Amino acid sequence: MRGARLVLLVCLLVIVGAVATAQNPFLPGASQETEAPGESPQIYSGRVPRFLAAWSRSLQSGIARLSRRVTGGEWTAAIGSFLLAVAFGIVHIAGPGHGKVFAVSFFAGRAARPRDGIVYSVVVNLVDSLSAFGLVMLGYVLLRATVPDFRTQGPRILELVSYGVIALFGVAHLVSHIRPHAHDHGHAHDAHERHDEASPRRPPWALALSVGLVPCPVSTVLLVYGLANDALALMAIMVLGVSLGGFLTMSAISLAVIAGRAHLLERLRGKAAHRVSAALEYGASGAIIAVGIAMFAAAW
Amino acid sequence: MRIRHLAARFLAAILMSLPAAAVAAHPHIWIDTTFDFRFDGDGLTGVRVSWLFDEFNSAEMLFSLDENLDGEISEAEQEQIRQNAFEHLLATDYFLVIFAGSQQLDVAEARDFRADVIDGRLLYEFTVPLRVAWRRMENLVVGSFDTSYFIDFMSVPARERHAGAAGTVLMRNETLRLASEGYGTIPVPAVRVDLN
Repeated sequence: MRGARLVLLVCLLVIVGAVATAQNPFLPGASQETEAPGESPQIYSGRVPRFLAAWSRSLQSGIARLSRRVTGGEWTAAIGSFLLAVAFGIVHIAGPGHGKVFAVSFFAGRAARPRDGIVYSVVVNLVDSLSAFGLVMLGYVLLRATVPDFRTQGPRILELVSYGVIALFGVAHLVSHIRPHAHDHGHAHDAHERHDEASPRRPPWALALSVGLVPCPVSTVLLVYGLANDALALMAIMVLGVSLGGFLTMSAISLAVIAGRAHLLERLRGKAAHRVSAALEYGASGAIIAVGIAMFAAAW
Repeated sequence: MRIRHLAARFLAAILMSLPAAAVAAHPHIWIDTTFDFRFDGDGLTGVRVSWLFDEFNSAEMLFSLDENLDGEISEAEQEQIRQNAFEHLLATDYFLVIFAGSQQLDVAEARDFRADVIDGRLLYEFTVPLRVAWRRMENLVVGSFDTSYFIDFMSVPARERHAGAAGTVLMRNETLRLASEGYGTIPVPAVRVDLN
């Protein structure tokens, strides 16, 4: 059972690797993914302040500059580099994207404790770092050693393997559904799981896992930079710094939403509170589903 | 049963991860862009574009593009990079947006592509042919913009003025505000070309 889980984890990393690398239009093999701009779901319609992009640019450049000094033997520069990585993580997650819409919708729609917001933010950022590390180790170290063409055809190989793995598991899923005993037992188990998921006192593990699973491209390129420059340990620390910054921003957003919802419902009494609570719950669920479907359709 | 259960969880995890991947938008690649405008007796003939990638993404790209990993791009590697990692960008107009007044100009296929490595950073250079007569050389603005907001371009002119046949051409920074795919309006550093 433990072996099967390990195989599943590796397969999952291959798939998220394919998804993650396909986002970079400059890598070989990306030509199949690059299309002219088209219609996409609107997550945000206001103006994005220029300072967010300008700060990100300056901070990543600063991390690179200080990391070079560390690899040149100036170890004290690692402290400054780590602090810049934390600051970068704070700014980076504050910008558009990274699934914040899911966290906001989730915590606006149900009663949650501040601890849930913290746990959610920890899980998202920790899974992101671990996923990036696993992806780089698998893609850039293991596959490079075993599949000579991987280095120049990586995204395409990952894509082919991932589609094959999805097809295989689809077949396994179908076959097991055809078997009647397993089907009945499975339903009982699923019902139990749904009950657990519906509990308002349980942190949103599945949501946190899904948001953190596809690693931030910044985390993977930092680690690849570390591999290329014999500074993997240093860059792993930088990834942790970026994740720490991401955790701080995501926690602040989650806590603000949790506190805002609680404050709003506290001020309302009786039927009004019930109505607002129901509206938030249904609205938030609808938002998560709508954005999820729209994003899936856009990525298809 | 265990296989069915694991397969169900596995498929669920994949389906959940795809939307999350799609929302990982904001800049993850940083490119310093320089526009070197080329003129002849009739007007503007093209723009030589330089893209200097950030160090971290350069490392990842060189890992795939620099076949012998010697930190240099050989002539044989030049052609491979052009074919495998650059040519397809025509579908995105090489992320260029060119306005002559209110009219957006088409972007033709680039030529004279070259890749180099400068202090660990990958440099792409290419020329995009343009034909803008002197009399239309007003409110000409050229910028680089990725509508998915995955790439952040910082654009500057290679020089600030050019003594042309019809007068002095001034090139200065300007900020465009362009709509991204789903993430609002993005300020885009661009270069404005005016005939003085």
